[in-house]
Amino acid sequence: MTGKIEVNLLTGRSLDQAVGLEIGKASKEYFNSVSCVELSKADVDTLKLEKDTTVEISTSHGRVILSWRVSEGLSPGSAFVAYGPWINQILGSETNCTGTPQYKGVKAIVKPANGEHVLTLLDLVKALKEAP
Amino acid sequence: MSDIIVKGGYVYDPLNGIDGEKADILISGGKVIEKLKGRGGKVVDASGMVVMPGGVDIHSHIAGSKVNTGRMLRPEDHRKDVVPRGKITRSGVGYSCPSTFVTGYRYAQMGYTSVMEPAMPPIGAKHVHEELNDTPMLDMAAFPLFGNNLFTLKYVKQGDMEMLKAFVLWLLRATKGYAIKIVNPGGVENWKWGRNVGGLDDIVENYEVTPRQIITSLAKANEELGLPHTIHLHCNNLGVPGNYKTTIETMDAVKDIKPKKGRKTTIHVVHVQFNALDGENWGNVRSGASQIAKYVNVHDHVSIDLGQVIFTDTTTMTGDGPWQFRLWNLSGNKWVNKDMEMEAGAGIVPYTFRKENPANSIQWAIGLELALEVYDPWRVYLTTDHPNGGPFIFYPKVIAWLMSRKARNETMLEVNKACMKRSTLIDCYREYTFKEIATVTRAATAKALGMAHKGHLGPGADGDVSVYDINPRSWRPSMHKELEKAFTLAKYTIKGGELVVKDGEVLATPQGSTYWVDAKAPNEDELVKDLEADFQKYITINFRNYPVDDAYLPHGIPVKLEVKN
Amino acid sequence: MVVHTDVICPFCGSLCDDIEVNVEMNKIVGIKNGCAISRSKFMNYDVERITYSTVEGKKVQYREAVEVAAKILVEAKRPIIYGLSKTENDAIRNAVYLAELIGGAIDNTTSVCHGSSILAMQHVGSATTTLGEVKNRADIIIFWGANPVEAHPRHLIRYSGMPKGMYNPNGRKDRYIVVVDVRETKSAKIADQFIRVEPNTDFEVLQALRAAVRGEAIHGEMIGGVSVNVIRALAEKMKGARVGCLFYGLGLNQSEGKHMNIDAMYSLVSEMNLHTKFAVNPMRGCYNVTGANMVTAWQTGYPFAVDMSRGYPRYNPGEYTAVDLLARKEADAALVMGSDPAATFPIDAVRHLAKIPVVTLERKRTPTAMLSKVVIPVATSGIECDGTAYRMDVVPLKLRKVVDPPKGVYPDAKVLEDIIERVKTLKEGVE
Repeated sequence: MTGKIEVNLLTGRSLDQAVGLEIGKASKEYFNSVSCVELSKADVDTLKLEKDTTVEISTSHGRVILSWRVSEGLSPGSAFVAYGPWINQILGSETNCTGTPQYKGVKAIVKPANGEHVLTLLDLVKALKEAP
Repeated sequence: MSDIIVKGGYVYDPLNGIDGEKADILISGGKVIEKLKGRGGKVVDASGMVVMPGGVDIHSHIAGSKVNTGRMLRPEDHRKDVVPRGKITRSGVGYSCPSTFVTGYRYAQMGYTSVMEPAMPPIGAKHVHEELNDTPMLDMAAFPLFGNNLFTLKYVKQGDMEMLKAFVLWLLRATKGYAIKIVNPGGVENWKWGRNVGGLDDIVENYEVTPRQIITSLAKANEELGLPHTIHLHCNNLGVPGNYKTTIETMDAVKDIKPKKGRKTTIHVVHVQFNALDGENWGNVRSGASQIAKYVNVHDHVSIDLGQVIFTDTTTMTGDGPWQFRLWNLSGNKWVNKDMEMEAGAGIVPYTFRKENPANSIQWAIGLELALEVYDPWRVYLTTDHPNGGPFIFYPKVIAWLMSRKARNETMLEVNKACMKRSTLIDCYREYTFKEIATVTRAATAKALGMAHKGHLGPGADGDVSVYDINPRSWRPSMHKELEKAFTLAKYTIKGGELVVKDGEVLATPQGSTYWVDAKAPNEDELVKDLEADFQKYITINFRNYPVDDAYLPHGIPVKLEVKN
Repeated sequence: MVVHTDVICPFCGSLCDDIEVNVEMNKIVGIKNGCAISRSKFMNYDVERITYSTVEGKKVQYREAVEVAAKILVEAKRPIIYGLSKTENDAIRNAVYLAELIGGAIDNTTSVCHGSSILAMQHVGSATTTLGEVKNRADIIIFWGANPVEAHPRHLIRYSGMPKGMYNPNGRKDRYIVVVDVRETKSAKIADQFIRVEPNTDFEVLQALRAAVRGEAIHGEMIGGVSVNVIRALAEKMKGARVGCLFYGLGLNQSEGKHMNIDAMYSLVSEMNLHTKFAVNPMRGCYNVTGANMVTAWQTGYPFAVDMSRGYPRYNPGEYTAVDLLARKEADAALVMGSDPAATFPIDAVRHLAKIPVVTLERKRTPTAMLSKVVIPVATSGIECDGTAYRMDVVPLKLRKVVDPPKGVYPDAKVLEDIIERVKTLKEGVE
């Protein structure tokens, strides 16, 4: 039985994301850089994640399917996703009257995604256009 | 543009010796002329009113990095003075940190047509010019900061006057600047280490030069080059009780320098009020204005401006980093410091001048004492060091205080009695005349700046005219409220031969011109080699990206200088 | 081939101005000195470009797109103009003017990045300096909640870590670099000291540091996952600096506490000046977000979150900021330029953006462009058109034009000029 873990989610700039966005938001490089969650080795082991599978990461605002990889710099209980429309699916827009939403230090749940695919940029845009 | 006849007003044109005679001013093609060629032309009826050349403000912080940081710092200042957009005017905010459009409109509404931005950090010169380009209705110029610049210090240390002169011209050209500005020479460099200088003969760390050397070298360079204005100096020890001594020492330091042909002055000391303090500390501070006025009266190489205090909430902003740090410690108000790349610095602290505060009441008195005790109106100019002493919109109040002892006394009775006991203001009986006001707000400042087409209404002058709805023949000093009202909103302002303000309303918003000194020393190639080498090592932008190109001055007026070998 | 030197890179707030760009037949064929991101921008400037205007996805003439755009803005009750950071100053001036004409709100990417920095500065001020001062004098450098190796790759090389300076003749050896972050980033790996803090505890750690600097008691042994001994030692190190500079990033602005985190940091640095020379600098992300603040501030008095609906500028972060206006469903039309909010905003805000008519001025296919009613292609500032941009320390630089934009593609400034002209005509018809 695979479980789930709670993480402190950090979103931010990464070099690959910057390089990718300058190629274009519709590019493969951008997609790869922002639709992937970095986890600590310990958390990957806890979740018993298999290579080349996907994970679901969710908050009260929504859920999103991402690919995953290990990052040595993260402590257990932390996750990092580069800024982008994938991770924004689960972030809230409350700004506490500052104008800035909380992009870092957000509590989220991570669990294996049971074969669900990562949506493409076009999928995301289509969903927005078709939403009621 | 049609011709204009400003008809039948009482004209005050001190540069041409006209003292309130009824005369017509004829303007054609943007200039004052003797005779109109054709008929027609718009008649501006100035009968029964005061006519003066457009105001020329020699020192007012209106554009650039620290001014804009002041704006950002003070949303609370803006909220009390919002300016909606008009048919032809942009919206904005006023008071102590006005937005750029409002700065232009408000000055024009007061009858001012030229304003000098007195402190431009060279690496931020493009910023100053961008803001000047969004400041309408005024002719302007900006003064780059020299007194703590790594190249100034280097050449002063080496005693190399030829390189220093070449550098002065190069920097003026690179920044499209007009005059040498010096702020707390040596002190701002020491502030990069968290320290300051305490006097003219203190040491600037790592350079082993003194403020005295910096000041005299730049003054000498200024006069030998024949720059249009003298050095424009903010003294060491600003805001330190007892500093009047430093101010006099500073003035004395340059008294033997030979001025350029055609003028007697070799130094302009700015906002002297802040540097005219006697006493040992803020507890027993007194006015040192009389001592300074005495010195200025017998030394005609000096000109000063007031830095008059207004009792209001304002924003102090200067290039004097250590002074602003001190003010933060004194007042506890929010403090911004901004050191600039091996050349300058700045600091901003909001401050309220309070009537019941004894030190503030003395400071208020000092500015007026200076104006009233210096006899020569050609060497003392009306400023508030906007916004340090107060917003420029309060100039009419200062005019009223200068022209009416009753106005001064009324204020004196409202403020802390310290100003009666620790200044000589109560004994000042002098009342400025209209001619003297015209002198200290336009004629003398234009002359000091070396702007031959400004500040007067003789043939060939720029068509900058202001008309104020006050009858000088029937006016008495007891009518100071009417006077203040008249100078607050000009009846007419004419800029470059165009009627731009009528009854205080803005009719047109032409963009003015930006003056800058365009000259090159014969040894500039040698200088550039030196500069390029140091840029590589010490500055974080490339040499080629440093200068301001012509595109930043769509209305630039280069003032060419002949540089002899 | 033409070699352009001293070119300014239009990507991040470092605004490196030593890029060499090789151009052949009006196409960039190589660059020198840029980091990986810079290289990507210059070498891919012509990839994925939008080359014609569209209305509802259909190709139209430029003039028609301008007309539809102007109509959308004039007919809206609560229009908002957003973005401004990835373009040059003349475009921003026009954007502010347009906001005034339509009585809309105008906001820029500051509001989701360093807006909190400005809020903190408006409360307590800040002691800052330009990067050249850091290079020449600073011997203690602290990066807090910032990852320059990935976000500002040449910052350490040009300004804060490696370069030799007037009083740092030995370069890196003359500096002690500390990185404070919630995770061990690539920047942490090159530092002399890495301090890991728990997420959302920067405020407490900074306050503890302030107490340590003041010599006051700190209760407890660990603050935010950091040992009090480490905090005290850092305070001593900072007080012993000849000159210190604290660079910080969105780790502070975007976690809990937001502007209070930065309030604590600014207060710390100001108080440090009672002991030694210290400065703080925000690591601005976009190459001209500082310019967006500057232009907006000098024209309206306020640096972001500005509303013009009453005919004069009003300022209220949280009310006139883009995410809030969209999440609360208040905005009923938008003009987006120099940014891609559909990629950067949280989902609720983006959902509303997808519902309202949006005019986007964009270079490449972005999610915002895909959701927009009107898309007008624009030139790349700093590559295909010149203009002014402001570095993170407010130093202005003149961007270069090294190649022509694609045919029929204009700079943002011109597109806005044309929209303004149509808006004025439409409004005169109405009034």
